[in-house]
This record gives sequence, C-alpha cells and structure tokens, in this order.
Amino acid sequence: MNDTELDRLLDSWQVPPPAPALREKIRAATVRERYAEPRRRRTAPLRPRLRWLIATGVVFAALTVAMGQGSDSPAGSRIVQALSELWEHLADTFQAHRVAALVSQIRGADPQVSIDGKPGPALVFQHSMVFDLEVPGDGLYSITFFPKPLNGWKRTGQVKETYLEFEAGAHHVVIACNRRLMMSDSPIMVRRRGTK
Amino acid sequence: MAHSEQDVLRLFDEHHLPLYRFAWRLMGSAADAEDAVQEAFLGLLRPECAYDMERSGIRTYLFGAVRNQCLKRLRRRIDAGQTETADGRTPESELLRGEVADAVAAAIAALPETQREVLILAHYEQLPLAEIAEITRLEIGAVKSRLQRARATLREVLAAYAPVENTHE
Repeated sequence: MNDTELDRLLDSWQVPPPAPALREKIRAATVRERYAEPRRRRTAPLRPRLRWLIATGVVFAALTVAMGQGSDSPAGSRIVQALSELWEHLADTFQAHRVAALVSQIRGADPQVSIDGKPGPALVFQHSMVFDLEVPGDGLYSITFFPKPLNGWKRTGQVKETYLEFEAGAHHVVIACNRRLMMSDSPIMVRRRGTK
Repeated sequence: MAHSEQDVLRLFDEHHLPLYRFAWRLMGSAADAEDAVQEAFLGLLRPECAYDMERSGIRTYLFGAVRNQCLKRLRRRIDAGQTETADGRTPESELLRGEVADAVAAAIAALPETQREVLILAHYEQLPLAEIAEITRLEIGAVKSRLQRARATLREVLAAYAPVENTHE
C-alpha cells in the first residue's frame, strides 16, 4: 500500500459534527465563570473511605450513648456534647458524599431543562456538589441537594424519581433525566448567584 | 492572560470544529470530546490562564489545552480499568465489523497514545510538524519518527483494506 492509498483509507474515518448545543453550553458556562468566586488553590478532596466513615460513626454513636447514660457530672456532659458534634460532622460528610453522587448521576443522565414549560439552557457542572442553571432574562442559579439549612440557600423543590422540580426565582423549573435517580425525595436547595 | 466572554465565543466559532474532531478521534466519545473542548475554552476566562500570545498562536494553545484535557480523561479511563472506547466498542469488535471506516478507527485507536495524537494532528488536521511539536512538547524529529511509525503500523494493520487492481477487463 503506497502513501496515497493509505491516506485514502484514513480519510474514510469521519467525525460526526458536535452537538449544536455545544456553543450554548459554553456560553452558559462562560456566564457561570463570570459569577464564580475566585478559584482557590486546589487541595486534595477530603474523601475518606466510606466504610471507615461508617465504622467511625458507629463507634462514636456507641460512645455517645454510653457517655449519655453516665453523664451526671459536668465533665461527662461536655464529652457527650463534643461527641455529638463530632457525630454530626461525620453525618454531614456522609451526606456530602451522597450529594456528590447524585450530582454526578444527574450529569450522566442527559438532563433536559424546561423553564416555565419551555426548553431551557444546558446545566453547567463545575463542582461536585453543585450545578448551575442560567434562567434567561433572570439570572444564574446554583442548585444542590444538601439538606441542612445553608446561608443564602432556599429549599424550593424536591427530587422525583426521574426528574427534579423546583422554583428558581419566579420560574418553575423541571429537569428531566433519562434514568431513575438515587436519593429520590431529597430536597432541592437553590441559591441565586446574580443577574445577567 | 484572561479573555472576555465575547473573545471566547469568537474563538469558539473559529476553532471549535478542528478541536472537537481532534478530541473525538483521540477519545472516541462525543460527550468526552465536548467536555474537553468546553474546558479548553473556559480555561481562557480564568485568571490563571497560561496563554501567552508572544510564545504561541491561539490555535496551538487551544490544541494543547484540548490535548491535556483528553489525556487527563484517558488516564482516568485507564485507572478505572476501561480499555473500551466510551461507546462500548473495542478495536477487536470494530475490526470484526469489516467496514473500512470502523477498521481505520480501530487501527488508530490501537496505536500507542503518543503516535495516535501525532497522526491525528498531522493527517486529519493537517497541522505543520513544528506546530505539532509545540502542542505535544516534542522535538520535531520525534514528531516525524512517531508519525512514520504510526503510518507504518497502519499500513500493516490495514493491508487487507488496500484497494485492489481491477482485473475484470
């Protein structure tokens, strides 16, 4: 086979064009970048193995119960309180793992956005626990599923089996996914990031 | 040097097709290719953007950024033990299909990563060797030898698909 013949063979491998929505995705992502907080130096994510988390949690829960039964003294009471806080922290970390898993699942489930019944722009995924949605003519909203009350975040909807339904400002948003989502019934927390 | 959103969209309009083709051919997945291209353009907006117009052209920079994104994703696939392309095809299964384009895709996918990227940039994107050297951070001589080795391998692997002389008349 000479060079020309090889070139002809290679030319038979064509690439399908990119999705027309790619430009819109990038435009939406540039808007998100505009509102992004200054990027911090990346540190290794705190991801202890789940089984260690669970094992540690069980140990602390047992200790908490044991100390609670003998906490007549002020010192015992302080230890109980410290252990309770630690337990709460562990529970938050566990919850963060689950939220990150749900966000990742949504990202891979071909999410289709509908705002007030009309097709909306693509979601922008930049962080493990949060994604962004630009509501045309309104502004940018961040969405997460962390159930604890967080400053600036409002609970405006909840995860359904295969879709998310919530309010972003005065707009009704539905994000349909192509598969069943974990953490069904989780609260959807929304925060307005800025106006366009 | 950070760019404005308008700059990014203008650059996207000018350059995204070859960048997307390059990423798609490297990774065999439309979703991964789109992600890689998106990340490369978003990088231009960030204050830590390393693009220096005095050192290289924007096309070279963007190809380098897409390449980095692709390599990162390919490493992740290897770490995850995936040997297939993202849409579930393997080089072997592609060859069995017997279609020329699939066989070419499979043969290129089976090349070592270092030869594959050079071949794609040289043959499909028609970039000059000096620019490929800059994108891949190699000497021009190394680019040439990788390209020659890639073509030699493909010539051998695809020999069965070589056009045959018409002997009917």
